[in-house]
Amino acid sequence: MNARMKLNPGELLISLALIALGSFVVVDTSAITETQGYGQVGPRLFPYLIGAGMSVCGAWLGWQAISGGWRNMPSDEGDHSSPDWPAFAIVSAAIVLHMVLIGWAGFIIASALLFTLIARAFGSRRSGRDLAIGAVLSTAVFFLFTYGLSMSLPAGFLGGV
Amino acid sequence: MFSNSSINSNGSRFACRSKAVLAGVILAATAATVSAADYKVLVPAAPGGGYDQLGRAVQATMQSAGLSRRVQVNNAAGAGGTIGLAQLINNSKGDGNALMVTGKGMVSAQYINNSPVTISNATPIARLTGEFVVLVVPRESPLKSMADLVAAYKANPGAVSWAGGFAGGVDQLTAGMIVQRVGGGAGKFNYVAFGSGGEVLSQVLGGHVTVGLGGYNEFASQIKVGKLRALAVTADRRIDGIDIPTLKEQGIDVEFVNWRGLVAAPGITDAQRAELVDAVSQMARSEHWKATLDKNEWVDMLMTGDAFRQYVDAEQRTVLQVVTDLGLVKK
Amino acid sequence: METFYALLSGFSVALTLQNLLLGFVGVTLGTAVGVLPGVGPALTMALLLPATASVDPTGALIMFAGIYYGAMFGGSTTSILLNTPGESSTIVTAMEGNLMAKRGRAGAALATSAIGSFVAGTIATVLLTFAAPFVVDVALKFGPTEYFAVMVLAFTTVSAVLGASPARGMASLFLGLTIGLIGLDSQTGQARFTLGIPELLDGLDVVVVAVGLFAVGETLYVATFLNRNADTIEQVKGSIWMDRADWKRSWKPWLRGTALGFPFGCIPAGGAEIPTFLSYGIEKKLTRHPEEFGKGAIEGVAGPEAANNASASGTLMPLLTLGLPTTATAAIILAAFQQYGLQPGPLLFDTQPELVWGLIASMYVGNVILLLLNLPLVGVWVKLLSIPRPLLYAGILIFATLGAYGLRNSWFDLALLYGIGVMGFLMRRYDIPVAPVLVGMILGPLAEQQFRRALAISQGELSIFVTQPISATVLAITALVVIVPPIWRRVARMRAAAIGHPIHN
Repeated sequence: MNARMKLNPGELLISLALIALGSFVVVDTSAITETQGYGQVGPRLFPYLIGAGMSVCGAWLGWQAISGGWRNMPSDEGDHSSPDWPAFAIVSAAIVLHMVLIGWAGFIIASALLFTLIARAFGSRRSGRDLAIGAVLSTAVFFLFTYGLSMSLPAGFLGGV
Repeated sequence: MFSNSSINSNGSRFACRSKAVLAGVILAATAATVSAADYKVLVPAAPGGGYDQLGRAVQATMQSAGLSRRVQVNNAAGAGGTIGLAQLINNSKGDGNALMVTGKGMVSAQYINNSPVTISNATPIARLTGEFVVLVVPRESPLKSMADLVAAYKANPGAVSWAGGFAGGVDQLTAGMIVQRVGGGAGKFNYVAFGSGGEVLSQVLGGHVTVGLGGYNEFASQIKVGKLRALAVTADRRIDGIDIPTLKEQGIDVEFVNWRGLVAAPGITDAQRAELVDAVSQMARSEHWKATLDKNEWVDMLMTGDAFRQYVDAEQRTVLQVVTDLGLVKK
Repeated sequence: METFYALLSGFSVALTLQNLLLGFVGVTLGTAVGVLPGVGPALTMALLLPATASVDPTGALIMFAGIYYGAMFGGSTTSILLNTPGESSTIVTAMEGNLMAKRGRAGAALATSAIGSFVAGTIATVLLTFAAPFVVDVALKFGPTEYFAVMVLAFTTVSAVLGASPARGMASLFLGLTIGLIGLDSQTGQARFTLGIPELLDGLDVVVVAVGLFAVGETLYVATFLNRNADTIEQVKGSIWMDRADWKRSWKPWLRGTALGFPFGCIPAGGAEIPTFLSYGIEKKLTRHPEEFGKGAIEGVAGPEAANNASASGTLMPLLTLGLPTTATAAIILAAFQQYGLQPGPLLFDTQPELVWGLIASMYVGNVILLLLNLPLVGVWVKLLSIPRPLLYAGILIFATLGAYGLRNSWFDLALLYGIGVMGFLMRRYDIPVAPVLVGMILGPLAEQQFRRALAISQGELSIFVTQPISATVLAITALVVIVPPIWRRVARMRAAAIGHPIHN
């Protein structure tokens, strides 16, 4: 328990973020034009309640964070002692790259690269093999969708081949 | 933002290569007057709705009438159709094979959603079908005619609840025009928006609202068995085989048609436009299209080329006026 | 008796070779698209609609019913195995189902899901056969006032998914409610919290949020924190089938799930998600193994799975008898009817008895096909889990991104998916439960719209919620659900203290 008595900056930051989000909801709600109509309740009531509720939850968690930490946290601190941030970065990069590539390189290339990079983030050293598996899988999915279901997925420059 | 559309056409060309030879032979035999191109029809709504049904009917008819080897239908749902509209305007500039389904709902949505692009940016091709709005009450309702409804409204405007589709859609526009015409304050009526025509139907049948508005087809079977009573239809004159009085007959000078049609991409050449108008006109005159209209009970409202362009301009002015009067768009 | 003979003649239609085959194709196809997030039964049917124009109406509708059933079931397979819900109605299944899979009980989870779906589908079809007019009459009594009361009841189920800390659970719920606010306000047409982005005008898609929180969030978390540790996905232990204890713990949830799911299918704006939440909440309250909830309790899979299938069958009731589509999928089935010039509704049973009873009979047959197709496949599916972790997660992400992108071919949805994934990662890291986000996101907008509709109709009169009998009854039940258990616990504690046996918790 002693370790938990220290202030956890992550907990405090999340609490503050929740308060900020709740406040944003309340402030932004006042920009909505109120048109009550015959029901006496317009489009503002629920956002006000929800924004306020969110801020209260944030304050509640913030108070817990500075008074001994969030309650009833699971005892899996061991898992969190050595985060593998490079892996996080590779997964993130993979998804962003996929997002950028899918439009012009096409679904097959984007997905095969996504597959390879995710496998790499999880420690696979055989990227050539992964690329092959990824290419086969995404090609299969591509044909299933475009010809089986006649849905459109971007073919990219492979489409001309 | 990358151009999906050009990529898709590559994909479809790839798909059709093997069939193209065969299709070419058949087409030569039928001596079609337009070149059988590959078309893309963008449906600016989710599968299942009115836009989608029209888009897929165009696909089926064009292919079966030999006007196109392959018509690919893509859905781009969202924001009353304006997401699809933006996709067409931004991604398909100058593409003579790209079509999009459009209609009155989109005209309204572009104002309500403050859309940066409007239908004026696209190239109008043809109006194809139309649907009239009906006003229905449950069998048990004391209201027998529009006069009764108007009297009830004037006695206590708030007590008359008008149920229809989402805010700013064709149902609310219809109700708003009626209220204005009978002398009610602009936008002063108790409109309750529901998520779908099905929900409106159940709310009217259950007697939870005073009057329901929707396309005739949505209520047809309940009207036929007498569970719903239709007070009026928004057509300009009585429709053959449908025994519902028009608004005009009942002294309310409102006419309203929820039309649907096709527009093409911006920036296409006059030749490309003429070719599209020609292909769509041929489609709309085919036997297959006639059968489709009958089956779906759609009203044929074919109007093409310049006439349609002027019609779209006029529609935009009228609708903008109505949504402004309703307070849905700020002046 | 008349109904019975009509049903018999329906079987003579459903059991022809052609219709059996179409049913089989439908169920297979439905299972396949159910597995893929973002590709639902509605889209599949819309795509197939033009293709079926040449098939006779009975056959086509039998195939469509098969797709609907199959998709409901297929969605649960990926929920259990990959923590990637294929459909919004299988989000709850992912919670306990995937935990079971991680404990090596994937086979039992898939089996209870398959058999539960079969039981629920069959019972619901029996109800559809014999109770249709009565149920429809009741369904029509539901107006906005009644719906709002039901939403309030549904919110009480949140307590079942709040997790270890009420503060974190409530924060998560409010996060979901906030996400639910995004988009056009349907009563006034105003944009709320869309930040000027047109893609946000229709709000966030619940499947994208679920896949982002579950699949992408989990991928980020495992890669960052767990990958250096030993494999946490345990291989299948013992029999892959359900054992005697599993059966004993499953059959009651199946029945309760059916009882919840069917009526929700019958009412418009009911949907398949709410009964799955309710079922989960009830099973958690009634179970004799509360300690297993949150670690993979079979009741938490059996109940919701029965509920979503029963709701699918319930949907067909108002569709056939009133021509009233209650879901997007039902709207497409309606379009299919119209394609053949048929108008579902009160006249359909008289004018097209062969078609209606053929369709109903085929639902019995479809359920059997679904079971026959899926039970043998359980053995194949669980092998997916023996794929090495790098390849498994890489594959999951291909399907997750495909589902998000496929919605409308926009990179924006991929950006959204990643953003929500990072949120899921943080929530998992700080033990904030993700399920309340989804509960809030689905129920919040429904509750708000129904509340405002009810008040518009009553012209601002708040008392209608307690003066309308159905609404008052539902609210009273809600009050009991909230008040009774704590009192009950206190009484039990006092009694225990009186006789000297302290009861923990």
